[in-house]
Amino acid sequence: MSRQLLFTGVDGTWAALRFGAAVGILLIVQAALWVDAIGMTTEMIAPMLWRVIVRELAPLLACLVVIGRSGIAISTELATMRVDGELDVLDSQGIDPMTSLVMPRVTSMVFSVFCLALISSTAMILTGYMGGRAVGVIRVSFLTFLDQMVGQIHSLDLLFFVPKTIVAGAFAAAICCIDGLSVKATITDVPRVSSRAGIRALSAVFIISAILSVLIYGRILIFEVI
Amino acid sequence: MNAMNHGLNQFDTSPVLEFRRLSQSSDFESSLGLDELDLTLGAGELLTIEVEPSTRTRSFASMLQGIVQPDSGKVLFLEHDWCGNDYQTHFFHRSLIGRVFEGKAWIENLNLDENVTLASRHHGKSKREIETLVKFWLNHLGMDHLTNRRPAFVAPAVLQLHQWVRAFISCPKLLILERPLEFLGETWLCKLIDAIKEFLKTGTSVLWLDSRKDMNTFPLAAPHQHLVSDAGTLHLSSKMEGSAR
Repeated sequence: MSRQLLFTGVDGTWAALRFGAAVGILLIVQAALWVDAIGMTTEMIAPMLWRVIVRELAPLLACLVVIGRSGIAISTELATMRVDGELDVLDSQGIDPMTSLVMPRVTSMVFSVFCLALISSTAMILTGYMGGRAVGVIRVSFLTFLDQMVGQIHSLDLLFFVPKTIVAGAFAAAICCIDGLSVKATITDVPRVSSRAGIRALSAVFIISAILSVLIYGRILIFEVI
Repeated sequence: MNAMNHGLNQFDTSPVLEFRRLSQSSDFESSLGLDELDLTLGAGELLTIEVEPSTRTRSFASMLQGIVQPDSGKVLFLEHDWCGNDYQTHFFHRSLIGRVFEGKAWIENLNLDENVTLASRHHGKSKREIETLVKFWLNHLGMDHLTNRRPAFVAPAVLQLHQWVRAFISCPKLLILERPLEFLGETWLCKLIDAIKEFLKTGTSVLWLDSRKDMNTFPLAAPHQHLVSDAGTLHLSSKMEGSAR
């Protein structure tokens, strides 16, 4: 469990920071375009950045990092173990592969997605501010900007952030493990199973993220559904 | 020999391993076949099975542990039949079996030290108890310590000796040895026989699968059944009463 957490969470920190920083810049570039087009102010940019980052992008980005770095690796590892007979070795010694291999990996992935989402959202906000200052979209000091950001914190944010990281992370992890263990015959099946697991996990994350947004906002576009 | 004492001052009279009309089809000589075989192996008894050099024993040994299902019939281990979905009970019973595997025997991303002690730690043996058992068997085999390299970087002979240690430290009720001398010289036979004698004395049953022709002549002083594989199917060859009991 601790090794998996180290690989998935700690080793994934730099990737989450890099991607978060890049996405922060992308966001502020888009914001700059809208400032020019419709005359938005800094006060309007802060809530937009906050909501887009915390409610949508950070959980999604963390899931992408974890699936890309660890999910596919886990799937490959489990598939190889199955083909090589390592699961039989565990089974023969009275060790349940489900509790010794699958559960630690799923738990680590869920915890890592949550933590990496926090880290990448911080990176997005920081580079968003720096990029905004550089292109002249944000004209206030960092403390003022931070104050505006903090002022945007809403209980709904937690309602978005926690399920989007935990539910999506759990689904992604379970899919990677199940697909890895589903390999039947030979070592040549392993790459096929791993890529399939990656695509399925990514699809699940996007679908879950969309479903949760619809459910939590209670709206599809402008029509209220709940 | 306190290190491997099961607390069995007297052998339990119930059978350790039973085959009841056990049948398994053989893929010519590549796997062991059984044709309605009935057999009972009691505590402290030895069963040797002589197989052709081309015969793989892994699926047969896995069948004894309930991992592979037979075509028909039953395998009972300590009167437990491996049927049903009570996986916790199955895992518990498997923890009472020590096994030297033919072929793949290791978790590749753990080092050998971790591999050897993994099951013992998993089943709740204390660190001190594991260290005592490992030290005892390393001394017996004339080894200094467990290797802390991964299996891929260790010579097959050293891996095989580590397999022995792993099987022995589990203090098993049944010891399954699949070609235990593979990759090892004949000099190791005496040490293996000595270890088997110790296990038989403490009530462990031993099942030895190998291609050796001399298995029914081992001086083990214990009840000993010998099966021979003929064209891929097992037949009882001899049954000897030992003097140990």
